[in-house]
Amino acid sequence: MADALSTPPAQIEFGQNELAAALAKVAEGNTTTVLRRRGAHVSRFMTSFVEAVLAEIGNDRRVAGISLAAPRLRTATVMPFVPIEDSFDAIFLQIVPLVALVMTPTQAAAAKAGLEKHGGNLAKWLAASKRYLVTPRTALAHDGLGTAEQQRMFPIGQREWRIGPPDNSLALYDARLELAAEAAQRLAPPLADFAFIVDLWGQRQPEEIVGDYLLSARPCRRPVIQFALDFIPPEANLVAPSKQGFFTLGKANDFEPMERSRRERLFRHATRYNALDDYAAQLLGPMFGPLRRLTHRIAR
Amino acid sequence: MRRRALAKNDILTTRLPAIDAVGYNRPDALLRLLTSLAAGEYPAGVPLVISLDHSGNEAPGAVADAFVWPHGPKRIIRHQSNLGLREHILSCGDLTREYGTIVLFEDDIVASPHHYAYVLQAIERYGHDERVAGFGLYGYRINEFNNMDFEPVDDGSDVYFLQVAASWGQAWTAAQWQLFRGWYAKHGSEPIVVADHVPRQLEAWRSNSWKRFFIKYLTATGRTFLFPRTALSTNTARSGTNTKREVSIYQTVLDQHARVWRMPPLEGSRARYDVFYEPDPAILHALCPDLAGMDFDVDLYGTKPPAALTRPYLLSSRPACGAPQFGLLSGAPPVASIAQSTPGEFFTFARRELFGPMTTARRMQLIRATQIGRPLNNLMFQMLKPLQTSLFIRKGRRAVRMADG
Repeated sequence: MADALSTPPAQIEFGQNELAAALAKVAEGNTTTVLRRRGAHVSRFMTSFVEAVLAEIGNDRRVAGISLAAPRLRTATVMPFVPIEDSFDAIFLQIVPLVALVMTPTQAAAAKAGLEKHGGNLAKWLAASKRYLVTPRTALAHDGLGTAEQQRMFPIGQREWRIGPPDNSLALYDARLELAAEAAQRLAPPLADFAFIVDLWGQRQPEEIVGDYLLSARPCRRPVIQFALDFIPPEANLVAPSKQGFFTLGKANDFEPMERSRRERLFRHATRYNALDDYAAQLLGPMFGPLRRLTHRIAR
Repeated sequence: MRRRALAKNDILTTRLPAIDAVGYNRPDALLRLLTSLAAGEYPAGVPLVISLDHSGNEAPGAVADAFVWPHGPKRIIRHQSNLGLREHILSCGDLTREYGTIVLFEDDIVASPHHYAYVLQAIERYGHDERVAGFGLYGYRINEFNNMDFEPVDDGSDVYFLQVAASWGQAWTAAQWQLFRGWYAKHGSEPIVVADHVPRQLEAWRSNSWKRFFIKYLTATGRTFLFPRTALSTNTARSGTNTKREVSIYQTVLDQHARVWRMPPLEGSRARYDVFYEPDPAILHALCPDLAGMDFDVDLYGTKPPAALTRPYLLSSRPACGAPQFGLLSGAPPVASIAQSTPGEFFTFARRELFGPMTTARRMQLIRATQIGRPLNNLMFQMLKPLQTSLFIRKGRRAVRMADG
């Protein structure tokens, strides 16, 4: 273990624009510390989680620290964020919810340097340094009653935390909450032969697509491997290639821009039951058979 | 209900549980299920039974014949007349007499490769406890009766208990099935009504549903069903007997990796829910000191019919004056508001008679706070769902009247 954990861990509160100073304070100290945003609520089971993470992967060079807040929604959307289930109680994220972070002095020093190098953007540093924040599947912190996005249910029971290293995890996500390519390769061994950018949600900007290959929801002229849109979360469809392709691995320059209809299909699948027009058609169908047939024809 | 420790020989046998794949007239769906089962991890010698109801369609039989089961013996049961879904599933349940335990999948289900280890561990952990009436492999993310999001509290275990029978991947031991069969022999011809302390929606379910009888059995006997937090099976909802259009509404997150399941004893679980997907009051006693020792019903969604509210006190989202009160935590299920003692006045604990009926405005507020997706869609959907239920109930009653002449 890199740094000893005091029990309970020390806490430092920070406010807007005070993260760098808080990191500096932790880096200068000699104990693992919770950096808690003012007003944030922290679960009483936080200590056991931190202890387990430090014991299991505290020395892993790819672990930048712990984020106790778990995102409920994909960034700036009403789409649920549903991590792949890989039997571990923690996932790995390159987003930084500024609610409650836990860092050792070594991690805080690295984060502070990264913050300075990347213009105050911690997520950019995580991406550039290929590091992750370890995040519990069930949130252990939320920002009080500040924003609906970060309010979550806390666990109500103790457990032996199952913590695995990022090298074995299926639940690694970048700053867009796209699955990491290495995790996609673990889910789908045929992908191991390719170097690709993951764009399963079709949201990447052109400048982000830098590799030869792309794995995307966008329409592709010459698919190499295809996967259906069947299971949830959509990433789980990578477990088996399918001829009924929705997601495609292909050469990056073979892809078209994301279509509105595909985005809508993905949205409806991910949110599971909000195809209101379909539902209304089913409900009213017995009374308005022709209307239902017309709706289905349009949908097709 | 009293706890009776069944003799070990009643339930646990040395036989390996059989996998039972149930088919009717969907060859593609059956093939998909069988393919997912074949990819599973099993000890050597696990039997597979493919049970096909008579549909007049030869294709499912051809799929069953051609399918190679590499893990043990394969048996195909072809029913010569159409049993209907209810009788077909009951006949499959009766196979527990031969096999000790069956793990049953209908043909629109896809199984996780790790489902069998879960079943073996569940038998070992709960096979002797007659309060547990079956083992679900599916993990609910939705309240099946009102289609609201469902997220069980995280009590540190990998399972939760719910008084709803699993039909999208489930296992029964012979002892569990015998207890149900005994009850069904006495009560299987009785109508299912709200006075049975079950959701109104059960009245709207089709007469070919075996599940509504199993749910009534659970509530009548105080038994419950085990469910995994991470699913070992998912429902692809192909169009068929009970689903008219393909939907993703019942999809759930499949386990992608083997694990040793954290399975607490029933009384040690803090994730116990009734048939309305409402938490057991005893759990809230432990979580909220203000409620300790009180005798109350829980109706956080404000949907329980009066027949289901029998205790002197009530904790509900319905309008009332009383104390304590709790706010509505946005982005979390209602029970989180109580567990975290959220400040506010949305949920009230008071004497039952002090509550008014649930209002549309409060219902919308609850939906908006707790449901994922586009708010307008959620609101519209939740407004239409009760209308659909009423139409189905009316249709069912008309059919009964016509049948009675």
